Amino acid sequence: MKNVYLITLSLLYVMQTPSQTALEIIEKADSKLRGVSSYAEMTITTVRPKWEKKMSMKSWSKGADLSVSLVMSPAKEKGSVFLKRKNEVWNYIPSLERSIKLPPSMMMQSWMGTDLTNDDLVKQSSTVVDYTHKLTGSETIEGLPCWKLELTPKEEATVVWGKVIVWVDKQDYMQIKSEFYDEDDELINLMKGSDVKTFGGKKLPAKIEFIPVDNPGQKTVIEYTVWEFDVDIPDSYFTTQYTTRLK
Amino acid sequence: MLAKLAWRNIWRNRKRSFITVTAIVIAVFLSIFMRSMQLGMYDNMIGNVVGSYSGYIQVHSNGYWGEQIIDNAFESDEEINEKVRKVDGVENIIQRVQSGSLASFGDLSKFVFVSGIEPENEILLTDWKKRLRDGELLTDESRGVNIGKGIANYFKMSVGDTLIFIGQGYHGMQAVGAYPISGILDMKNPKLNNISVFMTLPVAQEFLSAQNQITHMIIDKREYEDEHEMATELSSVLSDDFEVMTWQQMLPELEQTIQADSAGGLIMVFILYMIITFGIFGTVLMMTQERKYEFGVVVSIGMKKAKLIMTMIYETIFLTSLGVLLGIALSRPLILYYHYNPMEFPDDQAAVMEEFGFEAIIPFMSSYDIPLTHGLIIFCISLLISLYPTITILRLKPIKAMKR
Repeated sequence: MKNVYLITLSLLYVMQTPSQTALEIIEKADSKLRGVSSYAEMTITTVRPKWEKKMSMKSWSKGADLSVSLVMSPAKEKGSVFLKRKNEVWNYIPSLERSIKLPPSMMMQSWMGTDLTNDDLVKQSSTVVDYTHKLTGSETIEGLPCWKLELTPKEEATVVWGKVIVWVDKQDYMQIKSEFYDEDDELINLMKGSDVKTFGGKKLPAKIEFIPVDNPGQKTVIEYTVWEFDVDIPDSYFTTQYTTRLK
Repeated sequence: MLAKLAWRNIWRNRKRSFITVTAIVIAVFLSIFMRSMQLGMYDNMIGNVVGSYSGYIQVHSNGYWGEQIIDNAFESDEEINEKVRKVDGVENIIQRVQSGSLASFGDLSKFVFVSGIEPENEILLTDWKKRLRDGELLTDESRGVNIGKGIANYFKMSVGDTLIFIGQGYHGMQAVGAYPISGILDMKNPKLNNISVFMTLPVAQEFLSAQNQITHMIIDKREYEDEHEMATELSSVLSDDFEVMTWQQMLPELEQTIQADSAGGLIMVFILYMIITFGIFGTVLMMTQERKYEFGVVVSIGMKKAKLIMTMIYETIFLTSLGVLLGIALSRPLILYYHYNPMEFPDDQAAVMEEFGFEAIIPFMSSYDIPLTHGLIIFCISLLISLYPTITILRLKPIKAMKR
């Protein structure tokens, strides 16, 4: 009898441990990427049925509002800079020697030919603030036990999705997989993380794939080679004047 | 002898002959005028769009027409060009690479179509000198660009200004560049004027990061070759990686507009012919009735009916020939005048026409085909009508005819 009681108790305890709310999980996952500042080097591969394009970039960010990326290769695009300040995107083009502010009409267009839009760079519509969260279960993705969460956008939020399903790994709070659905509950985009590595003391997926579901054979892969957090970056980095001096 | 008699008959009653001839002259004049105007307009449309820009036949990489993006370009290959040149009727081939891009000058920006062309080859297709408004035309070595006058008006720019282009290049590359304007063109088509930017093929390929890639192969055909036959032969010569299209397939709306309008025109001409036919018939009927007494007299004094009929036919031939020739002679100067000084639409209509992408002028077609066809048709109608007096004469009973 005592045993049964113990087992029940321990069972209850086990069920209680993930007693964090969905909101807490998302908050933790979110804060993991939002250090005070970060520096990263990455390669972005655009995969199309007939061809592939590789591009390497360096990127600096500070808080949620400031970030700047510099294209290192291919040679023809080397020196191009994307500067994000709050909800503005500036594009410095070396062959023209000037910065162009991307007009709102261009925000939904492909960013440098990838499957990401210019808007994806800016929006940072926060997974924390703009959605209501619901924990719907546990699943194992890429060999990692994960929480499965359903995110529904709040009415006033400027979000294009009907709902987003996110898998967050239980141990390190990494967003391993996200599915983006439109208002008719149809799967539009898929985002997958894999190849977990330790960057600056944080465990993060080094490889992130963006897959537009209705275009077979098409995807964009981002692979991080360097990712540092809490680096000291002066504010002057995030100005249009500095774009020519980025290295 | 009979002809002489007929000739005299005509001048015997000048008023009557004059009425008949006038009816025919008006018929010939109106139908020639109408058709010249219509066909001239179509010719101008086709000439502006097809002959000098899109070409009669184009070859693209398969699927390009459905999705006109630079990624659907194909590699320029001398081996393929050689194959195409061997096809019967191919005069020349012209290569182009084309892609949409954003053009920007000052505070303004605008969508344009950047075409990389082979200037010295394009000149064979159409006389570019006629298009040049300002500055100079592209040559094979040019680094600048030629733009349509609509773009120049939009940006209020002139030769020497630098236009910036931002777009998507081949395989996801960014396509950016700044190019000086070396010339401003009038493409004779408002739509083309508003979007056309020309640079040389190598400059455009570099701009788009599309080394040695082309999107269009334009086939210049020899005059009077049938483009449909050529297209079929081209498709059999080329592999499935290519699509061969005639201008009717590429610009179905142009062909349909012409067909619909032409059908309307033909109906008008038909109605005109009906009116004319009855007009001529009326005068002939009157004439025949008037001359019944005369016929009776002539037959009763011994003239053979066959000879009388021949005389009548001669008369009709003389009258209609006179009418047709006079009609052609009268319409000719007017048509030639409008051929060289095209009729212009009034302003409000011109705007509508230009919106449809057509030049708002009607240059008349000066080809001899039209007067020849319509002259002949009316001549035949007249001959047909002369059957009436023939029948009347055949049935003629001299005694009855002479009874008053």
